[in-house]
Amino acid sequence: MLMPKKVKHRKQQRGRMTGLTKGGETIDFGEYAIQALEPAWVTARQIEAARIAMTRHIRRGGKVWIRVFPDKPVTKKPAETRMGSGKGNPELWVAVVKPGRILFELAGVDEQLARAAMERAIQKLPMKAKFVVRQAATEEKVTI
Amino acid sequence: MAELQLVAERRTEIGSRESKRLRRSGRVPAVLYGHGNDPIAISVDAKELRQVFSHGHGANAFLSLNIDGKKHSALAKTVQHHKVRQVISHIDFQLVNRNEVISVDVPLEFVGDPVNVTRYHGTVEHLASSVSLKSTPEKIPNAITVDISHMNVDQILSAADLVIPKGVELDTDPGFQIAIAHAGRGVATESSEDDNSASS
Repeated sequence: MLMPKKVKHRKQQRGRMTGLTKGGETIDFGEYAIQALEPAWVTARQIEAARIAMTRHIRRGGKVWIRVFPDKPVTKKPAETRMGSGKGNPELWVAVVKPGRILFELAGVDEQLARAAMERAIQKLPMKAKFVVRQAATEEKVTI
Repeated sequence: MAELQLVAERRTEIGSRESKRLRRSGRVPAVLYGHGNDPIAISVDAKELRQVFSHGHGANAFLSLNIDGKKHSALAKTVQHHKVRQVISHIDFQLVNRNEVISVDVPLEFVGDPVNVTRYHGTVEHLASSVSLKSTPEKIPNAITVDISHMNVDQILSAADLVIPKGVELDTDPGFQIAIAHAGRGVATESSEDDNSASS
């Protein structure tokens, strides 16, 4: 699973997820992509599950890019523990995702297969997401 | 390329709240600048803009902006989109002369089936979606066609390999990489997937 090699601080505050994504909203590498429509914390397990769902469906050929990285540690207190006694232990890693963010990209397969593979991957994610296609060069930037 | 007509109105009130009201009413806020003139805040009709950009030139359409009866030749320099809905939220128009040589980003259109790559379950990775070209506004091509059908595994296409129309010059490094053909990763099996996940 994806996780940082080393971090400066083991524990982080939770933060807020307001607004739209600040970057990473365009398809930069592949032809097809999954775009988040809601804010969420996507765990490293969910990213890996989505990747596996996609690669197993396309079977051969194709190339997958993961455009998010789980760099935020999430702590949890052990079960049946009384409150207090400090912050819990780091348990999992999440990527903070805001609406508009491209999560995965895919290339080298036809659209029908890409759509089916990415629909499966979307089922593994904790938020609403949509399948998007890189628009043809001359059609780009015409949507109003 | 003939100039496409687009009627624009001056914006008297500026700011984000006024821009939101404009977008709700079916108009797109924009600005016109260039040639040392003061920038003019304008707005254009969203439907008209869609028609103009749908003529095949995309955002590189050579426009004749009609502002209060006065015509200005312009190109769309920057087009901002909404991050989720992908609708145009703002446009920067730049004043250009008909005979002025300008530098524009022209989209690349990849065509052909790379048989020698797909035979080995490989893929052609597109490293660039546009190239920078120098030309007069009327000679800007809609797109540069890149034929990838002859590509072999591990072959790299660079800007020098592009077929550029007459009267247009490449405004980027000839070694700028456009596409690369990768060998395939083979059949995805249960064991290989598990190995993959264990290593990452």
